[in-house]
Amino acid sequence: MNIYVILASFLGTAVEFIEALTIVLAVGITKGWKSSLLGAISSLLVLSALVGIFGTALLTAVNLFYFQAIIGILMLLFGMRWLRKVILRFGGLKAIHDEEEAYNKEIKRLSNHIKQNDTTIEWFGFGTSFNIVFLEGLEAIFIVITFGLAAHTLGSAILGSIIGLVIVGAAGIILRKPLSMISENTMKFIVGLMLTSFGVFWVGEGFKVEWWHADISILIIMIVLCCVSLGTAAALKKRGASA
Amino acid sequence: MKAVKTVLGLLFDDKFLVSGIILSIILLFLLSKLIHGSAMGWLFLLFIISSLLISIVVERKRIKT
Repeated sequence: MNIYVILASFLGTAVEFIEALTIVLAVGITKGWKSSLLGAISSLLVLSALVGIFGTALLTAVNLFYFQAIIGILMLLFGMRWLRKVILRFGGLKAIHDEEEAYNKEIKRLSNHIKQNDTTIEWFGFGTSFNIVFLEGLEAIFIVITFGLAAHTLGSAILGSIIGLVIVGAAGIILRKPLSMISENTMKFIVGLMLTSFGVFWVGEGFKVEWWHADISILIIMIVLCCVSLGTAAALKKRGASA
Repeated sequence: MKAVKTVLGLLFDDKFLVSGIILSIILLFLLSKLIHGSAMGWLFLLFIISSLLISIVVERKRIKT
């Protein structure tokens, strides 16, 4: 065992796990835990199968750029749609909460619940969780294989990533409850913001953009998008009030 | 099937937004031949923000009329 490889693998993969966890948590709160967790578990199974089939050859067998571009486009499509809706709501152009629509949805949901005994899966939630876990998991596997092969101690790299997975997973369980207290619209805004930021980052990576300080750029993209969104919502509100 | 319907619904629901995203990606692809480094990424973010703002302006006009 090599302690430096364990540490490097832990830090490298923990970043990827945290990125996946934030989306899985946000999707779980807004779209239901069943869909979110099923998407994440299905993705982990697919990744396990890929590792089982290819082993360390996965590094050369899979082109990460294609996955980043495709999943990034999907994230952009869904994320920007949510972001746009929430900006319109915050700006007063759409009702914050449509009572009639909410009532109809609730009736529909209850009837579905009775018919299917709550076995329905929210496909948006499932797909988003699946995609994020797949891509971040694939990146984590690449980190483990790279560190492990470079230092000739794959076991240490795997151990580091397992420690990372356990710690990040535990943090997710602890954070689940406090995050559930955030209002629905705010949560949707956060999800839209995150999906769009990850989407921009990954589509860029897919087209070989060399982002400044790599994953740190996601935070900058998120801050820029947050400022633009809140600024637009405020401007819409001001115009609405003066009209 | 539900997932396909969701994606199709999305494409027909927000035409301006989807067109903006597609155009931004095409521009990113074209720019990738000319510019290198992180500048290309920030330009892409600018295109995406523009698409978002245009779709909001269009939606605002639609709601007002």
